[in-house]
Amino acid sequence: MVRQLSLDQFENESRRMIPTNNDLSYPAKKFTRQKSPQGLHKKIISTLLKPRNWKAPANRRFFLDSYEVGELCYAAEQIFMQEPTVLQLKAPVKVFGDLHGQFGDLMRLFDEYGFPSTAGDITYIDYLFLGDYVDRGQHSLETITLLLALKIEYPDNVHLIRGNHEAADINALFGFRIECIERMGENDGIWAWTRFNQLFNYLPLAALIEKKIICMHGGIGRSIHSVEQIEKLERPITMDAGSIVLMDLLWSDPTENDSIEGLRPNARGPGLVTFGPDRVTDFCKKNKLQLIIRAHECVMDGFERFAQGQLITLFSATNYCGTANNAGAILVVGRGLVVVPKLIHPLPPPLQSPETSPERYVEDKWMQELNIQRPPTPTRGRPQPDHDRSSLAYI
Amino acid sequence: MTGKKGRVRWDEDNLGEIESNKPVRQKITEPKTPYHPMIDDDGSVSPRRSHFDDCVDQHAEAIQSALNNVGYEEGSSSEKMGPESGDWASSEDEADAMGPYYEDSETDSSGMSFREQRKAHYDEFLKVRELRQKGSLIEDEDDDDAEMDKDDSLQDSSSSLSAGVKDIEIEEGRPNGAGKP
Repeated sequence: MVRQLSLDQFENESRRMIPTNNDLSYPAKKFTRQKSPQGLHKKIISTLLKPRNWKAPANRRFFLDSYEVGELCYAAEQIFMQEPTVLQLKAPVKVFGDLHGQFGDLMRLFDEYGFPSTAGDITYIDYLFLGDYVDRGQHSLETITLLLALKIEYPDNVHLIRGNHEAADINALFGFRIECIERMGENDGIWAWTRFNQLFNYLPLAALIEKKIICMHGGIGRSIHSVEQIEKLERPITMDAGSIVLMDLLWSDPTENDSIEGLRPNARGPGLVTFGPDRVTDFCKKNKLQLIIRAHECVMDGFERFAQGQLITLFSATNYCGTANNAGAILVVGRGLVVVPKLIHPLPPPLQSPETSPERYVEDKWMQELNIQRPPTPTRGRPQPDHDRSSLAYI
Repeated sequence: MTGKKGRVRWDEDNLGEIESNKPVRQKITEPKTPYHPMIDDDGSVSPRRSHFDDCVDQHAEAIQSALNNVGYEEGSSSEKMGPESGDWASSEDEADAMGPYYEDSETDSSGMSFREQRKAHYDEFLKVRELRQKGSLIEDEDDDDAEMDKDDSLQDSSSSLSAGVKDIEIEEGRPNGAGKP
């Protein structure tokens, strides 16, 4: 069931240059190499997979060097290369939304609802992550390296797809590059950051669960009418390749609520769109699907339904950016395709955390106190006051 | 029965449990803030929308270009786009019919709804585009200049940022472990 990937076959390959236009040279081996490449992902898992006990390290120096990052990326890349662009998964699956470097939340979700290990529940349930592993939070490196290590350890049971932040243009500006440099030194940091972004071009772009539920990071936008269009995208693929399908897949959003149909411009930027519930219905009908699970937008309750429950937005980072005070959620898709959201609520911030530093406070004041002011989210089927059309969950 | 097998369904008990365990939220009792951004007939955004000053031009532009770009299937919905297209905060046609004073239960004391604030936060695409146009990441972008002028272009053959990534010189031999902190 759970197959351990043997890295023996990679031993010779791992010294090879990564084939790019510019000949990204491989770093020279350190003199005192303690562990062979085969053990690297295991070392990462044993260091980082601490659902109950992980604490943000006071010393920000990352425990991997760029050589190890290279090994990790290479091994993961080999796996992603073999996978189709649209993954074919079976229930039961646990689905995670945006994490954005909030490694503590990943640990909490693992602690509360099960973690991917033979000592946990990986033999019973698969794990699917919908992208946006890096940027914004303080522990992008832990988040991405652990997930890659888990992918290597459980290649058939742990699944990663791409988010819009898995792109150099974006993660150069929104925290990942800075974190790599801060925590690995400038040379190692830039090298590692570059290497991760090369890997990201290989990430699958969507997943189908039992051919009935489709999962992608953003949405279906204006251009996506069939699953085949996604399947046809060849990887590696860069975000600037000019693919509208890719842009829609990773960047589009549903419209503000179910009363807004069709296509509208998306405030995120020119050329991006929001798609209405009619688009969702048409797409699902045409492709014989029952549900779209996507992430990409912070939502107060960690999950939010749209189009009469045919689409769910999922967001796993609590108290996003330290100020949103939102819950984080995962979705457990059971064997009969029963969908069960599981939530974690934001913890009160510690006194001296970076998230509550004065600079952050001033910048992100906008999200404070929203949970106090926001009315309860009505769920499907509950009676609603007629005027309460501003709630997204109004159905 | 194969049609019935594997139908997506909701665990109502779990949903009920989540709903009942929600923290109590304070209802706002102060008068509603009549914040209703008006769009002038010529499509420019009212200066009252001071929160979005830095991206007002981009939004007006974005609306125009997106309107031109997006292929609407129904003609009627595109005709409705005009007065409302830039009105990100107000999401209901019904609310517009009621005039500037509509019920918005997600407004905080500063008049910014969760939606508006979230929208302001998700500015990654615009920031990247801005930097591309300024060419701030790499010095050499002769090839890209012609393409950069198109605001609505998704066909940029290579962005300055990712081109910068590809062109980074990686020296042979990794720096030794005692790197710069």
